Amino acid sequence: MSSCLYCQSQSPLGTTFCCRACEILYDGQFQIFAKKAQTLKKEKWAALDTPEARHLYRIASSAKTENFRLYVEGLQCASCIHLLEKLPEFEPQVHSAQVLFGSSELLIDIEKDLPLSNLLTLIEEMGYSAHLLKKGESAQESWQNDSRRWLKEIAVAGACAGNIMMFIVPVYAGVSGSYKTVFLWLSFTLFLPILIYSAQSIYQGAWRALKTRTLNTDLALTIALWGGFILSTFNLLNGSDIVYYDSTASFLFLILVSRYFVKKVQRRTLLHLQKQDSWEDASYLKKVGTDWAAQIAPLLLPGDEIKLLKNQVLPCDAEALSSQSEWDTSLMTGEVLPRLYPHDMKLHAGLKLLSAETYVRILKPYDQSEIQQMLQMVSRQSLNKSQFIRKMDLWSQRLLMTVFVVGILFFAFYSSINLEAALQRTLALWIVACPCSLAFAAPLTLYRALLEARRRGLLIKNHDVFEKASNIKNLIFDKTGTLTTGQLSLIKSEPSDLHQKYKDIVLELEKTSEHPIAFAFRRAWPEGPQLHLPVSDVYENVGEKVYGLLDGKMYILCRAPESSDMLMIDLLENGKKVARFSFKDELFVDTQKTLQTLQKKFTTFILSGDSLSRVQLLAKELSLPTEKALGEQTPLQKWNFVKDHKSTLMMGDGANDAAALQEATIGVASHGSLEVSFRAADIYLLKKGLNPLLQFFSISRRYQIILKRNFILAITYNSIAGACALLGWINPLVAALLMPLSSLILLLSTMEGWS
Amino acid sequence: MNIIILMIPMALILGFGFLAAFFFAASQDQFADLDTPAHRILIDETEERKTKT
Repeated sequence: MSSCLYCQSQSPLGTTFCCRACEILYDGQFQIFAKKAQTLKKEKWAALDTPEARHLYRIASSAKTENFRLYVEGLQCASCIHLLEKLPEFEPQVHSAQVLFGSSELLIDIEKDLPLSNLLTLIEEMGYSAHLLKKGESAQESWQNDSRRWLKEIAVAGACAGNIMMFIVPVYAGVSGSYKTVFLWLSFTLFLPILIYSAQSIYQGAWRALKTRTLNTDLALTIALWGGFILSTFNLLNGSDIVYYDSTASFLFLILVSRYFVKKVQRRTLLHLQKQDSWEDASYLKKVGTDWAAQIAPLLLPGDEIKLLKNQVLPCDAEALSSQSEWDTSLMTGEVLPRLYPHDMKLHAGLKLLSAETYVRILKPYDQSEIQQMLQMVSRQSLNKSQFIRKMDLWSQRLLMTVFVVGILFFAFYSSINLEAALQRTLALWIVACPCSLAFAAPLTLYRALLEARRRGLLIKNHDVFEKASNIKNLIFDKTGTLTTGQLSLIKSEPSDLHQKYKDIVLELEKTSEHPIAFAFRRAWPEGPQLHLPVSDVYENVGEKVYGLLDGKMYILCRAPESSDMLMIDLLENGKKVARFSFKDELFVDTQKTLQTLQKKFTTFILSGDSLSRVQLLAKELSLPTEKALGEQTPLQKWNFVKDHKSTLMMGDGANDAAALQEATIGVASHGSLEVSFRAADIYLLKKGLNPLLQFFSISRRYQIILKRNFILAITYNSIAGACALLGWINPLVAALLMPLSSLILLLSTMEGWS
Repeated sequence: MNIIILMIPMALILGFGFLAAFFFAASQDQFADLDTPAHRILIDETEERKTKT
């Protein structure tokens, strides 16, 4: 890591600036930049200028202006905010621009006649990739409403608890007479807003527990809260000063705060997951009469004829009209090598076109394509994924049951001796013993674990995974994009001291190709062609051969006859072989080492949609038994495999993994996954490779240790405090000291031992 | 008149005055985005001119 020349923040090694914004600001020439930006090509976004598209994305409008919300990828530092908020200076028709850094969103207010394509081109030129968000699509929006309510509940609880303590301290200090009465009744009054307003979400949780006839911490809290209130008020009416308003109120406040923190990290995770696959707002050329008009994917209709350009992603299910076209299917099927599809072939949305312009006819509307349907199904199912009973919940239920039963038994036994004391002590037991760690330490531990996971490049969507981790026995990996980068790399050229002339010829032949092999050549020889050879008449027979002429000789790049998987390529000079190149699916740098560590503890499988021979080859390289590496797997086979193996962690990235990811005990979507996969998964990786998986297991282990420690502390506290309560030693002052003290100990225990 | 009769309402008014201020701020979405302002303050206009020269 080096530091950015402008803002000093960390930037990738070998770069001077952390982002384009810093570069522009450092030069101080943003006026020139703005002028230049006006002349940029805007075709890429042309479809957004149609009135229908504009209407689709508009958030609000006034007489002169309209509001739009954009999700901006690539926000790095203060300069990014600064430059984006300068948009009104670059483009006078932008009235205001506001960045929400936390959620990577940009709110803009623009004049009605400013084309959206201008705006998006300008933002892209600044170095960001921006997507328009539809109304209600922003994660920030829904969070804002909920968070407002939670903050208000916490504020009321905090204000009331603080004021109650202020008035109760003189009572502890021994004030008497009418002052005491006034202070006690003030405490009573200040407790009411907590009871009525702040505890609403806790009542909701308790009600859910009652409906399903289970115990939860919300129910315990409700009992402690109302127990404290009834006992205190009963005493107050009888002229006694034994009231628990202060301890109950401050405890509730602490619980609300700790829950808020958990929701906050949870929301951060969701914000990162709101990325959409980028083909939604891209422009597609649709045939209108004899002409072509730009249109965005959601507005395309069945029957429309589309001209797809090289590198574009097919947005809807369609049929091919061109005679032959070559497609990258790696994200859909896990295959590394492209596929050729003939005329009339049915194509699925999500395929990327590798050959030049191709014509297709749309068969289904955008939101009914197979991949969108799968996305909807996955989102629906993740809501009612079978509820995993956390060990912590189980233990807390038992603990609560014990506290209740002990209280009732004590009351039954002691009421014959002294009815009032029996009632007092039973309620005191419930007040001091119910809330404890269950309500407080569990969310805090989770919060700490989630933060730690984020720091190490894991976004946790489903919070149960930390506990499920200890039961995992099998690991199942997808190949392409998970173990391997999905790119081919040149591993061998024959002869090994290949003449520069031939390198140049290969590079010239592959110059415009989007085939993975062409990329592999360019990566292998990054210095590019050196001799500037005038290779002419280059013709790519899609997916088969590339021809070219130089000095009257014909050069052909084609698949070697011995290679069944097209992993060997020959260069022919007038039909004679002059060089042979071998390629391999490239592994991530850390795959081998990490997999070795993981294999010691888990049974490891590879399930791939790629050809069996390539999968077997990889297994050999990773010293994995070949019977555990399965190739040519359909999505259904993958799903069945996961279903047949209990306690599995599945890791994958493509659309063909989605169902299996959902079925697995823990589903992990690797970095760069399709939206449908990361929606199905429980964990999303922010870093490439397998290393975050190791981190995940180590965090889970620590999470469990700390949870156990907290639980032991809580039991100790409950036994001591409970015994004191039953012996009648608990008075309000003891409760006011004991309850915060127990929280403090648990807080220290939770924060300790992570790094 | 005992001073405490004045003090209690004052304390309460002060306390709940701040609570009301917080409610107002929350309804104006002052807490909606806590990350951006912290960054926004880092770069000001004068610093830009400095780099220009």
